[in-house]
Amino acid sequence: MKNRLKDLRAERGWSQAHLAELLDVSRQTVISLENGKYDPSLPLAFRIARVFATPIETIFDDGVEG
Amino acid sequence: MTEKPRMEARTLHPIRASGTFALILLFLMIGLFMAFAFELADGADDPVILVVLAAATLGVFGLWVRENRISQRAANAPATPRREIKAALLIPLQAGIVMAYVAALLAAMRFVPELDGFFKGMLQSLPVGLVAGWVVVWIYIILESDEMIRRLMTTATAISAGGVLCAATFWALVTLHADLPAFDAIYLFPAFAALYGVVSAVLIQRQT
Repeated sequence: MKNRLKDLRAERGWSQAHLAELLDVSRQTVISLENGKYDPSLPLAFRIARVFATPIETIFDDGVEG
Repeated sequence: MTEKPRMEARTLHPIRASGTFALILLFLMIGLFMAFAFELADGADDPVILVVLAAATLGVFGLWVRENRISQRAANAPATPRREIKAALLIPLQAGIVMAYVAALLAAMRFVPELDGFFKGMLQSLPVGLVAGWVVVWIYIILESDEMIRRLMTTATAISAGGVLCAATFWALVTLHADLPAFDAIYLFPAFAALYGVVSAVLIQRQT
């Protein structure tokens, strides 16, 4: 699944460690999420949306049209 | 005019930044420790070799721990996330417990017949306590890690437990009708723990 995590983090000037602290996860998890190697659980996806104050569907894209 | 102090972050070599060097150190540590264990099991005829292997194992263990923590200790590094601090402390602790288990087990096999009383009981029960300690740390890591690390650790546990179970069964079948040494059940735990450590490190490196 593709996501805009890296762009959103860069827009805010946050480090990966800072985002990890905000999400209460490890830095490895943030790196995996940004690289698209790990798809978050629903609770973590909601936490990400809350941290960036953005709807989930604007952050994550499952590539399915419609 | 005084020269301004250099404040920029030191760039790590790609082999270190990617965690490959830490993985190489892990393999080296396991190899050295296995050599130490075999030397001890053989009766420790040459104490110099035993001491050199023990010192080399501890030295590489220290380098491996340092390599895993180096990015967190840099003066200008951002604050380390809480969950990462726990893993950085507990995973080396697990590796240390496994090495202590094998050393205590081999020491018990060699020295218990010569001892009696309190020291005999202590040396006999030490490996049991170390296995229990490893299990407690393992449960703590699983419970306290974030969801991705927990999933990787659970996968590593399943792969290593299955791998060791299959390998032990295979070896038991081979030795059933052959004149080959049997694989004692007391070595199942260190075999599982060593495989678990390697699989965890590889999975984490592949994932990140």
